[in-house]
Amino acid sequence: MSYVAIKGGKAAIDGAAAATDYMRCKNAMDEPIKLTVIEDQLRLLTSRVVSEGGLYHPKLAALALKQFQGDTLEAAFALRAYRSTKPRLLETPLQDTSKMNCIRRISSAFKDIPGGQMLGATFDYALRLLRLDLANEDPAAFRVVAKNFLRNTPEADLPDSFPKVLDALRAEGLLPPLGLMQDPAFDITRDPLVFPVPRSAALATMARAETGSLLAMAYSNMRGYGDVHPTVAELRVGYLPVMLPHPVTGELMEAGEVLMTECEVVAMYESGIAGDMPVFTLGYGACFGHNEVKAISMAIIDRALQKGMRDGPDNPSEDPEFVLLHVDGVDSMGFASHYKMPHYVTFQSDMDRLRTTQGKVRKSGETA
Amino acid sequence: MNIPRNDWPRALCQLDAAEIKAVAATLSGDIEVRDVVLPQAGLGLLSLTDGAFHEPFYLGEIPVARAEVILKTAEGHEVQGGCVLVDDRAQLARSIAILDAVLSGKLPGCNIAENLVEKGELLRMQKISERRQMLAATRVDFSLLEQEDDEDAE
Amino acid sequence: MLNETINCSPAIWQPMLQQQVFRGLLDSFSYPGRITPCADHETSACLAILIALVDGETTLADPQQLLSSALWARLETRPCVSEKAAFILLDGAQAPDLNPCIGTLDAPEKGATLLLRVSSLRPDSTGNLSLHLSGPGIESTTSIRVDGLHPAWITARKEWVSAFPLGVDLLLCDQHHFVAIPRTTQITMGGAA
Repeated sequence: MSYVAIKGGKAAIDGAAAATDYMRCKNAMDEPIKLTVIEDQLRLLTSRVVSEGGLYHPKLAALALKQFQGDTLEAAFALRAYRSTKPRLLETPLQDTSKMNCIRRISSAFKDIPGGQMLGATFDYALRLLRLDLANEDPAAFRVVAKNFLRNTPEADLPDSFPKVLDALRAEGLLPPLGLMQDPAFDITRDPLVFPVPRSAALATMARAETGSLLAMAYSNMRGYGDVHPTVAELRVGYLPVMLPHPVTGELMEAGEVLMTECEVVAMYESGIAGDMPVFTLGYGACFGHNEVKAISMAIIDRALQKGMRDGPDNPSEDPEFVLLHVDGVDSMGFASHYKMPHYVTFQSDMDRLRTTQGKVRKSGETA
Repeated sequence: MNIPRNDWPRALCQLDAAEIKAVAATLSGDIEVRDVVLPQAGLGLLSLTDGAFHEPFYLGEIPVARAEVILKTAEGHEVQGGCVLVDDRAQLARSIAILDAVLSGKLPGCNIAENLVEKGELLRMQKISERRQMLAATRVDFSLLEQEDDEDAE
Repeated sequence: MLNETINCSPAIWQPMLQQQVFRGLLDSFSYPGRITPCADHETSACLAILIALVDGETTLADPQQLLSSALWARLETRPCVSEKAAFILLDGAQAPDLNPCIGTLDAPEKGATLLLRVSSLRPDSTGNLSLHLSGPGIESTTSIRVDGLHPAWITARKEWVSAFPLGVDLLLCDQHHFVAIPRTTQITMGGAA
């Protein structure tokens, strides 16, 4: 398959670059978008690009969204391209998500969890009625919203972090034992997926997967192409402090923090192996940024893949090759988009073959 | 100052980078600053253990900036300083490494650096407090649910 | 052991000079036997090459401790034994005393790159040791004269590269120049003219 040489289209391509900028700036009365506007007022969109780009850099994700005029797939692609130009400096020591500085923490499995349930900033209970008052928002009113919220809310005496709900279930013996063999984590940025892959490869692939792809796979399982039947043991959104060794003292210190979403689901229990007690099965999902649908979907698929990797897949969402090779947004978008590139020579040969075949059919029709 | 060495970078990072660089430049004006390693800005792999089985996996990449310096006073006194940040600015890491040396070695200008750390820490506490307020405002009070049940029972 | 110390200028730590050194390496591997000047005249060629090439994702062996600990800190690469290292820095005047990694059929690129420090490289065939080179990248043959290279290196190399694609690649470095001899090059030795 060959692509037509770029020479013929160079002027058109240059024109296209100018045309996209024209489209972006057409309304000369608008202000150019500030990156902080995207990061703050479109925070969930920024979160999506941060996690699909695989690089925790909200400011650059906002820039990519601005540059690619809101196309999340292109923006994630730009973030991945950026990261490929940077040297790898280190791997962090294992971080502990129970140290997360939560801004949201809920459980559907239990009412009373240690530390309590805090809804945080969520649309879960919002009426899906369009707020027309947002169409012409008064800047003065906008400026006082945050101040008023903080003034009207008492500060409660809350701990800095909360224990994991699963720890209580584990203490009661209701969960499978922790992995005794700690295989090193699989680095998907360095090694290709050659099946069978370890679970860490699946988790890493899904953590930067395209949200809609993961959601569709998980939904298929929920609706019956599978039998995970999950309950959310805990969903938390918050800032994970990143602990790195101080270059001089070697002691772990907080080098920064990363906003992330984490979800643990409890699925159907299964009978124990060889006379062991039956226990619940578990799924885990986590991603950069605030993206609950992605974390829940990932947890469901994690459980489905565990079953598929052990017993063989009965459904697409249980098949590691089917899932892991088709959920990456940059891969899938790139392939879909490549169909737009000239395929003139290939198609010419398709036409030649069809004409020849039609000729043969016509001829055999005449001689019959 | 009560803030331990390990907490200086997270306090300083709340401030404007320009302010940190300016102070570091001023305080290291009369001192020889040697780079033990080149200030670098690159990527780190974020390692987590999953909540279900505590197996290690990589969540993704984070920007990492790192610097290590040695400051030598006119008297010949040498102090090491270092900094590693979740950030993409190598020169910011270098400036904080300089402040790390000034503070830990109690070099001249140390009180200016302390003020900066304390200023940053105040901002950080404010940020944490705002997060707590959001949790407090959205905390579910299940006791109210039980009250309603009692009322229904009557 | 060479008397000349390994020099290092501050400028070599900046990307611009490293990129120029890298360009020189590309030329030198494309035309084996071509004596290439190091882009930084103030830094020893072997060190300039290491600075341009190594980082935290590769490995370096320095069995004769030619590099100071301050230089190691700045290279930010992973130290390794010579049997497994991707790069090995050695004094060419001493006879070889190691078994470098020659790669595997699956991964021949894992064969080591040996940087051999020599006292001088000249593009002619007089002097202590002259090497006549032929093979890919060389039009018929080319000759270089090397001072300060123990001839046993050529014999040892012949064995290491005998099973192509396995093998090692050599970089002969004097203070200001380097020559690449990839595993595909054939060498015959000639003595003083």
